[in-house]
Amino acid sequence: MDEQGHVPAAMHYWNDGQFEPDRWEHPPLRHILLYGFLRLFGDNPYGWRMRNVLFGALAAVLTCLFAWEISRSRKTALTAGLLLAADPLHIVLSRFTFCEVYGGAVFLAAVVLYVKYWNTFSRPDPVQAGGDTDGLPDHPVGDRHHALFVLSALLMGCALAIKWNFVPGWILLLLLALFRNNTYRNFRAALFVSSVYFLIPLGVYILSFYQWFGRGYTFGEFIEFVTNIYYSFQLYTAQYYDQGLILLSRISAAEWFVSPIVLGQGTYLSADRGEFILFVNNPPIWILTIPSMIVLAVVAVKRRSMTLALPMLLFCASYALFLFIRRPAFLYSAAPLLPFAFTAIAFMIAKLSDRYGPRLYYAALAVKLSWSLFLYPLVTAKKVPIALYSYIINNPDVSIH
Amino acid sequence: MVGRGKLSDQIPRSLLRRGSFMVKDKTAYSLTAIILFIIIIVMVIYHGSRNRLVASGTMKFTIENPEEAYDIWKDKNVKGRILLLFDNYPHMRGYYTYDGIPRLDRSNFVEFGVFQNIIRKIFVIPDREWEEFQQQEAIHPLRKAAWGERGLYLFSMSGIPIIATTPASLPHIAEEPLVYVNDQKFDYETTMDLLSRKKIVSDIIIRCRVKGGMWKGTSSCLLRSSCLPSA
Repeated sequence: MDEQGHVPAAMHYWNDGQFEPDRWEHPPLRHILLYGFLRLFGDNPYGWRMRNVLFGALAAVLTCLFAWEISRSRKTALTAGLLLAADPLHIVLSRFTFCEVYGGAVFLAAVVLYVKYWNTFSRPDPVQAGGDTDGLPDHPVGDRHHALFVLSALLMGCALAIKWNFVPGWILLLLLALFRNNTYRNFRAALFVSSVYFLIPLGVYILSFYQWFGRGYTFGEFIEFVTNIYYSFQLYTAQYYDQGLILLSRISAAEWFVSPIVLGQGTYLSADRGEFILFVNNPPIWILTIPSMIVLAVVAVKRRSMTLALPMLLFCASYALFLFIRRPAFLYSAAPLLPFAFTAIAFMIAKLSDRYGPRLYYAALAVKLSWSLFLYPLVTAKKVPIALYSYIINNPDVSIH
Repeated sequence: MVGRGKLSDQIPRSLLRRGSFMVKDKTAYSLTAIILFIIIIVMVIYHGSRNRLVASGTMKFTIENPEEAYDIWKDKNVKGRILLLFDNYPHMRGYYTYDGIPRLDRSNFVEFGVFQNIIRKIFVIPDREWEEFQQQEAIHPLRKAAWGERGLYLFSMSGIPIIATTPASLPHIAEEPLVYVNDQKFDYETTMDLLSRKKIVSDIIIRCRVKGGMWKGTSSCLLRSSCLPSA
């Protein structure tokens, strides 16, 4: 798996500022994080994988918090968190060294703090409002709340220093902060937003290259290097990858949320048992993403709530990148989108249950979680009876040994 | 953000004072962010410059085996340098494609210098005609250099900036680069004349007299799928 490259790359970067054998195009905070875990747990499977295990678990909690901040509904928050915690793709990626898990978790943490800060402003101060809170502008919040925004910016910088995939989400949040209540027209407020949410993430990104600068590079060469990264990404079309790579059989992001995808490999242990590691998109749940996003968008427009629109906006901004880039969009890249997708799905389920009764909510939750848990042993290399999963395993994209 | 619109008339003075403090507070956050950003830039620039080690004066060496160039660089304790390579395109196949720990040989002394952080950037002036050079299988251009029509950034597995150019298009290099001249491919005196015309000063100039240059291969493991990591 990728950890064969990631672990030596972490050591190589920390010691020499070099990226090999990982791709030099990816920002290096991944190496620093992994090096930290290697020091903490040792150069063994715990050290290699605990980063993803911990951040994967954290991502489920953060999804719960994000859904809560968006909806103020326990049902929505709980459902969103559980859907992510039980999602087969999220589970598989959390057992290896894929950056989508910890990068996604850090990005989500930045988003949660951002929304919390946003909500602090959105709820009008009862002292000013005199009981009537409709259509009021911002009230002066406690100064400590600005720290949320700063912390969000710091985490956003960490996400950017893990992978460029988070750039659209960052730009979206920056623009929303600038345009919210015409902030951009007020010099000091605009300076605050842009300096904190632009310079801090950029600063963290640059700082992650500290070891690389230790090879003698100048700041001008850093700009040159980042430009080269952009151009190098343009070279990565499907034919440049190892043609044995199992992920290469499905490289279109357009399929992720509309058709079943099963990729992976496995071994038959006997005539009726086998073990598999599979990357699946879990269609019974993922298929609800687009309808849920539409529902969320309609409700957000009706309520004139930008906060409610955030999952949809963040999902669209991040997803659009994969729909339009030239390089292959492998299924694992969908992982950071899942918290937003599951928040929208959870919101829709909660809304429907409000209308049709709580039984619908519990039934839907039970069915979805049962299905995810049914897939768990299949995707995580547990010994499974072939007959039970034959309709999934008998897929041309699953390579059986 | 504070006290705008109709509401401003209704806000008690205490809140206005609080709001005013908030604006100051925002300004403080803004200034802190700007100062921190500047500190980060200064810090990385300083860290980079601290790791560029130049030998004192100008030293000229004549060698018979290309790998001796590496020994000279190592001996003179130079580090983090630009290499001006008047020779074939360097052998750059990547650290982890070697069988075990990479060992220095006549074909990989440039890459070995990169592994040891002696070289951080390469200007390569190939011996072939420019058009012919660009058609080599091993060459994968990333982009054109901003400073000239005949300047190309090339892809490498390590990500080290490699810029191929012609003698005429070679830009002035402000810092002192390491210079390596394969005099079977380039006339040494003409090359020195070129450097002086471009006002390029070097601390270590190496003239290699070996027959056949440093690398005779015709292909390298640059962007072949077999050389790439899995994903």
